[in-house]
Amino acid sequence: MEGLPDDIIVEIFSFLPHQLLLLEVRTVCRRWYTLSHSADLWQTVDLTLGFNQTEKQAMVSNLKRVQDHVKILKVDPRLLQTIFKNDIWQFLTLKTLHLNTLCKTTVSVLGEPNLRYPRLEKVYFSSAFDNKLVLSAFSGLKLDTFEWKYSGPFQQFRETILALGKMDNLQKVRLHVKSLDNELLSYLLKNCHTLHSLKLHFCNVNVKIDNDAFLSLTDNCSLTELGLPTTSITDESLYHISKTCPFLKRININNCFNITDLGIRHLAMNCIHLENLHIGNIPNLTNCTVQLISNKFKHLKVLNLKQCMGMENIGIANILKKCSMLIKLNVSFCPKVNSNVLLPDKIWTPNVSLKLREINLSGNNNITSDVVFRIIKLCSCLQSVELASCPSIQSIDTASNKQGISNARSECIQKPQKTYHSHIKSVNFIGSLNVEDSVIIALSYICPDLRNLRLTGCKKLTKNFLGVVFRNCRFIDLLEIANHTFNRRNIL
Amino acid sequence: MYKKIVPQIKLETYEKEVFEIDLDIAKKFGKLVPVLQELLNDDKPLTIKTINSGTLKKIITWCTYHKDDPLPPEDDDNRMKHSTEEVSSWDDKFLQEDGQAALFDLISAAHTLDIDGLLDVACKVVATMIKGKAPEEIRKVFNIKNDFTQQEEDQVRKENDWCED
Repeated sequence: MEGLPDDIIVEIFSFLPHQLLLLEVRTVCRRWYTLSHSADLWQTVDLTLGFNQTEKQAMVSNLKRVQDHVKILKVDPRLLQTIFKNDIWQFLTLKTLHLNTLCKTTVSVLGEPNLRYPRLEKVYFSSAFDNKLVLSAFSGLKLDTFEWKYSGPFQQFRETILALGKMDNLQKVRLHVKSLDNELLSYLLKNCHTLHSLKLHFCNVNVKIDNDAFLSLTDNCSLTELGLPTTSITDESLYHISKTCPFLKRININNCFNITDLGIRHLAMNCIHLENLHIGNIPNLTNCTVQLISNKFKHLKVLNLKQCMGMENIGIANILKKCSMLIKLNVSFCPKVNSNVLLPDKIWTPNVSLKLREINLSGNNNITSDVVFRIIKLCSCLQSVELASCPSIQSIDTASNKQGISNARSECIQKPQKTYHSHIKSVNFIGSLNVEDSVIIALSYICPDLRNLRLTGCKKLTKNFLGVVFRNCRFIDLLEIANHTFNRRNIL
Repeated sequence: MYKKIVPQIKLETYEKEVFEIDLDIAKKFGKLVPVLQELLNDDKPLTIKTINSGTLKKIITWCTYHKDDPLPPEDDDNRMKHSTEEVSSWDDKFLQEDGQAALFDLISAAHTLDIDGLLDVACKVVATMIKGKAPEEIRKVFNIKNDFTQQEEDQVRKENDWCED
């Protein structure tokens, strides 16, 4: 250890939590004391983690020392108030400020932002500030990102939007709001020329936004990301958007019931760079949509088709075949998709390499345990599998299974060849009633890196598999089944 | 005899042993790649005196195993980068099986050759070794001398509970 150069030791320290650096690491020796205060280690300070009293004190007193290095600060505004009480603080390098609280607070806790954090660019609130002045407080700064989770009355929200329109460097806006109308959205789109990303999360169902809102969009608009879930936008709105935003990469129109295949066609014709497409729970979409997706969107990485009842096997199979960049696919609650889609001989020719990292097949009556293992074997990059509420997953046939297991096991030990050993980190079986022990045991042999295994509501499971799972998957230390939580120490 | 037509580069270690490495494995060597590419048609190996043969062998094994790894996912907005969680079981075992000294050699070598992925997991493994230990234990495990004077030690301890309200 002593032979290692400083920057490597700092690199090692960067993987340790801050409170550990302060309470343990810096007390080891002089060199470590110096290195644990390196500017590189204190660019992000998060005071919202669950610290105990000693840790919190150490963190706060150290904040004074590192205030010239911090670039990202996460803090509860009330704590900020106590910290600022006595001293004059100045965060000259701070660029990002996260303020999280569930309690009501006033903006005054921030002090004078343009003196205290002159270089601030990004602000994230998730709180109920009781004051209208939130934005005027930041008016002297050149903000490029603004996020506010807000659930107060519409009128105050309106003023926020109006103030946002006056900021001339805004690139990213995220708002959690109760409601929004055409006029406000139109104002925002018109006045924020630099906007790249606009995401709106609505608490109400079916917010009245239609074509009028998008008429203010001008050609070659810089928007690359647009989130308008749960609104009443129509195919025509999508036409406007697709015509004016040729660089669109991500769009989220989940739960927009008025959209039909035609709207998706507009997107497919004009926004060929699309990478993320969220069209979950749109009842009118048919297999036509998936055909369009697989033919037009060659760069697609994330696709959400949750609860799109019209989706059929052949469409999904085509997507897997043609969208070679896809890393995340959600086809949960699509009743017409069945096991056939996942049979390799039907869709996957050997030259198609699947890069899928996450797949969600929840709520499907047709998925059996055989299919599950086939997917795991086929998608070597897979990290997360969601199989909640799949009643057809039962057990796996033990004769062939035993061989499978012993093969998988011996292959895992072999080095250095890459073998059939999955990198899956998370599997979710919540509510899949008929899952039996054999499935979980087999899974634990193939997935040694498993961390998250959720088994609540799997009624047929006994405790017998626990020992095997904990032995095979050394990173799991807590496992929940029904209402019991098991931890490693009690089992082994 | 059939010889593979894979472009290879030659590296010479501290023990003057020459290793031939396939280019598609050497592409993990970050900043070094352009240098190595120039050497491609050269018969003279590149000498790296700070790396011993055992370490280079391990590095080749690691790079071979991780040859086809997918690139790490693009950073989403504010993902916190540093945590010790993401070490796979294979890496963990591979890095720890030869003991601490070998691990530190490997870290230095990964640093020299600029292999980001390896440096990352190796540092994570060391960080995990530090976690959950009292300062005295840490000194013992890593064979570090406590060079604080009594006065300094008190001072450090005081720093942690300095701003009591």
